[in-house]
Amino acid sequence: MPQTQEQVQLQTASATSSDVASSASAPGAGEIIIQTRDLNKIYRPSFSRLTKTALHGLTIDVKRGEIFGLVGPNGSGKTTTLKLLLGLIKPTGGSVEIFGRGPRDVAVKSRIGFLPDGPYFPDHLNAYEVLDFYGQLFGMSKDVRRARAEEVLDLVQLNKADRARVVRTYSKGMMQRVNLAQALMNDPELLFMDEPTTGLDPIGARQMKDVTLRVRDAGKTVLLCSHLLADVQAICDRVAILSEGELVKFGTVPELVGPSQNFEVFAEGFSDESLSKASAQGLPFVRENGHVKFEAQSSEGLQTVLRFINDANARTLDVKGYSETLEDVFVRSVKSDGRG
Amino acid sequence: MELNKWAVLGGAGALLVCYNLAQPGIMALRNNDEKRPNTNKREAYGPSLDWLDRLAKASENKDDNRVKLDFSVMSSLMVAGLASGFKSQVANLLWMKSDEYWHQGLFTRQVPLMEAVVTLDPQFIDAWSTAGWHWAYNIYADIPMNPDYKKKGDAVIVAAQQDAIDTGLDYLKRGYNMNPDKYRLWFEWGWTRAEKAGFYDEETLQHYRTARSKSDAREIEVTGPDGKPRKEQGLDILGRTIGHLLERIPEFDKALDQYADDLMKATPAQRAALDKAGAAWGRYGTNYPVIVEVWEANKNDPQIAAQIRRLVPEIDDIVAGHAMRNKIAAQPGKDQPVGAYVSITARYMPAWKIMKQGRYEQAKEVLVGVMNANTKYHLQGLDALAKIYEIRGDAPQAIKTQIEDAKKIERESTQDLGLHFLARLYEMAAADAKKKGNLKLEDAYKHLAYETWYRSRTRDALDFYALRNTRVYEAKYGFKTPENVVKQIKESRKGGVPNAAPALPPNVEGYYR
Amino acid sequence: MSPSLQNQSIISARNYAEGVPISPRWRAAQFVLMGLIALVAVWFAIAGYRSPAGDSGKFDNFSPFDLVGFGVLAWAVWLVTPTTWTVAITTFHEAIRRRWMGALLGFAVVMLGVSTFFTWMQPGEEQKFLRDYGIGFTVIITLIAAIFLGVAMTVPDIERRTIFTILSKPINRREYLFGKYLGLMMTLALNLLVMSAIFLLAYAYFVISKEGFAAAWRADGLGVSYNGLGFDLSNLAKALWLHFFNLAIMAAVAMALSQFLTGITAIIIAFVVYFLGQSASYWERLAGGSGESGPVLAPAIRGVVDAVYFVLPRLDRFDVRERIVNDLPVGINYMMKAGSMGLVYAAVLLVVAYFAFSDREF
Repeated sequence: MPQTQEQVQLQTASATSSDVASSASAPGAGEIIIQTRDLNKIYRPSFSRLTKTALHGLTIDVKRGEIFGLVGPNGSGKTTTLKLLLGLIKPTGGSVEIFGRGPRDVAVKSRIGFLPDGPYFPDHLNAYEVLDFYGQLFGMSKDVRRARAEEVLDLVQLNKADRARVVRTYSKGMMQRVNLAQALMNDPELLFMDEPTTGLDPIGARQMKDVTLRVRDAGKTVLLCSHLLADVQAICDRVAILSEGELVKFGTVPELVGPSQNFEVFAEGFSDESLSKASAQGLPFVRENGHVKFEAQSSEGLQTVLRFINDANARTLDVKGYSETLEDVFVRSVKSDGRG
Repeated sequence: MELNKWAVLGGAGALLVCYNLAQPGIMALRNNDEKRPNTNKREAYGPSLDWLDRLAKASENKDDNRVKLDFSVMSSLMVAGLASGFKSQVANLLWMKSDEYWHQGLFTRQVPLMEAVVTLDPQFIDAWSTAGWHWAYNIYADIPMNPDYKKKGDAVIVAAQQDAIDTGLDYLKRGYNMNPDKYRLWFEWGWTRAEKAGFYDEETLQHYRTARSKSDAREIEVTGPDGKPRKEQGLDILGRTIGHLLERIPEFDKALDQYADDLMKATPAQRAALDKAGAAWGRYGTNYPVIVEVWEANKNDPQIAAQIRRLVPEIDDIVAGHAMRNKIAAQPGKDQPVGAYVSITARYMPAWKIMKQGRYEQAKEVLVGVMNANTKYHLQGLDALAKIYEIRGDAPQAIKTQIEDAKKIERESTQDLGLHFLARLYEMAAADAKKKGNLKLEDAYKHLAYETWYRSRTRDALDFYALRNTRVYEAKYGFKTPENVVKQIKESRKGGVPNAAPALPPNVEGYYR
Repeated sequence: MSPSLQNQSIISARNYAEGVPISPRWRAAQFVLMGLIALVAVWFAIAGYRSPAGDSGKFDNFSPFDLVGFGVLAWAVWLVTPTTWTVAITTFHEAIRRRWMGALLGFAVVMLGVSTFFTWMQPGEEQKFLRDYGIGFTVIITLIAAIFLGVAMTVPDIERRTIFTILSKPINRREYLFGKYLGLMMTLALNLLVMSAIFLLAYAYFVISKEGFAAAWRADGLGVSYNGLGFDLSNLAKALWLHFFNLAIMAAVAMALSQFLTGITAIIIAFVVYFLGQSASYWERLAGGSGESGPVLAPAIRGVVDAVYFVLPRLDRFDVRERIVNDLPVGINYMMKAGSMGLVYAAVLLVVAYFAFSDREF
């Protein structure tokens, strides 16, 4: 994969100049580009007195240059939040600002890209034509459109042979590539991604992750909605966890997950005598495959185990520290609505 | 943002108001009833909706129309078609339904349907024409068969039939008002009025002339050399119809002018030649061309030529006249007019000229003589003709037959126009008597006229002109049917062709009351 | 590395602070068009409102409200941004590609092409029948296309969620909706053009086969075409193109209805509106609009009748078959008046559609 090339491309495009017209979005890492305050969305179907609160008092911010994860079970308000940010629906209360403007502002739209959770583009066209259509919406001239389409399709690694075929004939993976291509067509500063790896095989999912990281490395910001908590933990800088329309956790990954809590110590060379002393000291262990595994619940416990091994003249083979995964945090924090 | 949206809606409302305010201008163009100069066509862009008015008024029982409008037979498809502006297609469908009823003999149901069709599609000429025909002919004929009418008596039947004809005429009239540039309905109105209602008058004539002036009056469809149908200019049928009317009134002067000047475009010299041919016919019968034939065959033989000349002193005139007749008849479309011209000249002009001089009794004698093939007044030259046959070499029996035939032909052929002429003659004599103050004579002549009209109508049941005239007399003067004459004519039918002519010139004094 | 990315034309925050800019060339073209429209409006006000030669001219009238339609047209030109145009072209291509469109058009072309064979239905009146049939058939088919396509303009995008990706690009809802409408009108115009061409050819063939080539063109008052084939063809073309405004309104009706109702319901209601609009003259009679004394109505019913009449599109204005059948020319003055009003009404409907669409949540 020609990394250098893409990096250069993305870096060049992200160069912003100082006389930007929009008010609050002076460039610089760490600057807030999405800000919601007390965002509310209440659905009331017509002719019904029943209301459903999809989102209640959401206050989050997204900083420039980070990958922001929005996670939650179905019905938690993820999709609602995304739609509110894109201007597809209107808030019932609170405010939302992107680049300091309202989400329906056309100026905002030219700086964002949106990768929806399915291939929602006209499927009777081929890949070139799809990108050409969106390119026209951006006001790109013909030559620029054509060149950019080739570049983007290279970036998402769609085979040249397939590009001229009608999209309807594509496999899921190919369609997702085109989906990503249209999201990146305008080289956006802010990229919204909704379940980007759904339906992709492991290789495809890996490639998607790589692209996401490269986009961030080129100075863009990514807002990622996903179920796949392992991926979120791996690549996101900050995460917001939603449950039933409420924000239950918000912070960086390390903040949420916390430091390592559990340890496993692998050692060998114990005499039976020393091991019986271990039980006496209340240090649980397990014999496995010729070595002994100790568990400790805290860093103090770890110290105790290590001292014990030292005293017993045994050899420490390995020490593994486990923190809670995001998934653990997630499961702990949310109540799934059972609609899984 | 909110204010903006409501402002936009307000703008839309303002546009809607503008929309409504601009309507009167368009409606003026759609409804205008002005006629385009030189035509009878409405300038309007929109269709005439007075059928809707009639429908609305009909619900209030104010029906001043002859035929009620009835759309109850319309299917939902037709209603949809009507609502979306496909009036003429709906009219077509209704017309097919009406035809269906016609074949089932359901006249009553047909009637409101026909009205609906012509209301929806006034340019549907066939519909107007058929409706008119239907009332004036079919319904007319159906009335005396109808048990309801039969038990109400003759007077009611006659009145109903008259009404039927009038309704038919009304259709044709409405039709030509809607389609003033097409000849057909003008013509049909005139024809129905003349041949069914029995009015041989100026108004009928006027309609014929109007019809004739339309651009499609002579159009006929012919199959071209490539097998495809094509429209061409055909015969001047209307010109002939005018002549036909004039000769039946009768107005022989005008009829001859029509045939000669209008149709044949004959010069006075040509007319004079044709007059000679007519005279020949009058003397020798329809077979007078035999004389020419024999002459042509033998004119180089001095002896026979001289003989012929002795028998027929005016041989040159006959030859010239007949040649002229053939010449003109050879031209396309002129054979009928020339035939009519010559035959009228032959049979009726002598009596006509006498009548014009005011000598009615003498004219009567000539005319009755002509109708009876009395050689004193008509076919005076039959003896000479017989000799001509001899020269030709016919057998004596054949000669006898041909001579008899000549008389027979004249007898039979002169009844039609002859009776009309005779009746008219009596009427003019009556008027003359009235002018002179002789009321008794006038009354006698009137009776004679009435009787003669009756003869004509008895001879030919389709002579509605005569029929109407008799009814006029009956209504005006209370004359009663001349039963003996009627009986006589009916009996003569048994011999083949009925003989309605008076055998002898009637004695006027015998008609004094 | 790729030079194009260093070009200005790639999106950068500076250039597109206010959305996609409109090039001066585009604006110039818009001004030129609007200028042309203004010229035509002025011509209409001065001379164009007169009836064609031969009409008595007593009913010529000019109302300032007639010019509102021109204003609407000019404003519509102003509203067309390059983005709108993109959506329009895309919609056009997509609509043409639909299989049922092709089938409908093909069917129509065939039926019109063989229309001369149907003249047996009214012998002696073949030419009148042919004109009626041709116009009627074209009207029906294009109407069906207008309604079905109009309802299918925004709904599939919403159902298939294509609208997500579209609305996340720099396009506002007004441009989207108007672009769809414009694309729809382009499709209908193409349909109408093709069908008109086929019909006029068939008609010309019919007349020429009846009269012979030379005679057909002469305005001699004889034969099948009284005023000559040239007059007939131009008159028929005018009548067919007047129908375009009919389609403009019905397409707007369909699009507006599809914002509130689902597919089949919208289609049915659209047809109902069409029938009501065609019967406008009947309503007028009832409302006493033309001076004829209609039946007496109770005040409440009268109120309803008046209200309906106010809102109704007067679709029968676009039907000039009376003039066609009588061989009278369809006047440009009439076409402009009726067309202007048609545009105004379509604009009202589009505003209503926009009003609903702009607040819609997806």
